[in-house]
Amino acid sequence: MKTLTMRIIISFFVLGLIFLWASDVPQNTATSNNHQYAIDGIHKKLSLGCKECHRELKQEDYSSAMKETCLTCHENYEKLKERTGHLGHNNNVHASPHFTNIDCDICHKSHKPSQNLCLQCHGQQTMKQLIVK
Amino acid sequence: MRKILLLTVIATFFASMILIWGGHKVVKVTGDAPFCGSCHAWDGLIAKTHLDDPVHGAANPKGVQASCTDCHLPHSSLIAYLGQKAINGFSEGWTVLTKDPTKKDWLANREHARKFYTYDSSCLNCHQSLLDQAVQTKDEPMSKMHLKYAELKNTKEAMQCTDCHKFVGHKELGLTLFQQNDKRPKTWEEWDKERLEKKK
Repeated sequence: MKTLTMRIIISFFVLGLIFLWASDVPQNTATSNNHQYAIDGIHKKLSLGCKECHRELKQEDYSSAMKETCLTCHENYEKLKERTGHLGHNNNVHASPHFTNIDCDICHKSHKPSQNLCLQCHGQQTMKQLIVK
Repeated sequence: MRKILLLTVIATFFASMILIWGGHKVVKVTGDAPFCGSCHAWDGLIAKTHLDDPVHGAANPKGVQASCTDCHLPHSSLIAYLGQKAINGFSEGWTVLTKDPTKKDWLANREHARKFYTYDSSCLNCHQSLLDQAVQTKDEPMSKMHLKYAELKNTKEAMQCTDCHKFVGHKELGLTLFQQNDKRPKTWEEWDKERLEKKK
């Protein structure tokens, strides 16, 4: 009788542990995702969520090819060219004669540091000083 | 006695009418390009970029145009409007008389101008329906942004319309200001001319 009681208690304990582990897993994943894929700046302030940029149905299908969603707000390259017009002919990265319609995320990264593609060939100091947001 | 009273009432009525009409006329005349330009010619080509703007400027194909004060004065109340107008008048006059426009960093000044010389109450004076529309179409991407703006309003995190709509009202302002300062040759001929002059 005593052994049976002990077995029941142990079974409940083990079940309890499994339940706790199971309920904890998605929470940990979400936290880790939020941390790993955190966004900042004005996009953070506007509380943009994953779905605002990634149009794929499943999270595992999310890709960085999302120019279309960027341009939902940022309109088109003509507008972007005007936006960075103050950089002048030599440095206006959005008025590149080489790449007229490239994906935004080649330079602008939401989840890791951004980079300036133009710097791969153009070494002028004024170009090096540009901060890609 | 009754006659004097009647005359006083009539005179007061006409004086008030003249004052109101005249005041309105003065505010209107001093709120658009020719008058504003008398001081703001100092700003160089900035006013021209407004004329070239296809949405808020004279270049709008439908002829709808915002005047300088439609955007650059607060529309929250008549007192705020007239008060800011008076302050700006003195401030601009003083600047024109005592400072040198060639020494000013006009490109960097855009941030300051957006923060202190554009007013949400002005934008919303015409675009109020955007916020109402956002409530009705809250799943649209633009609506989400505008709802966020409404949510943050009057908080420490409050945003200005021009935080996102940075270049509204002035076509190619950045490029124009850049070119105004850029003294380098613009064409091959100009490069060649400069090269030959350096050789001398």
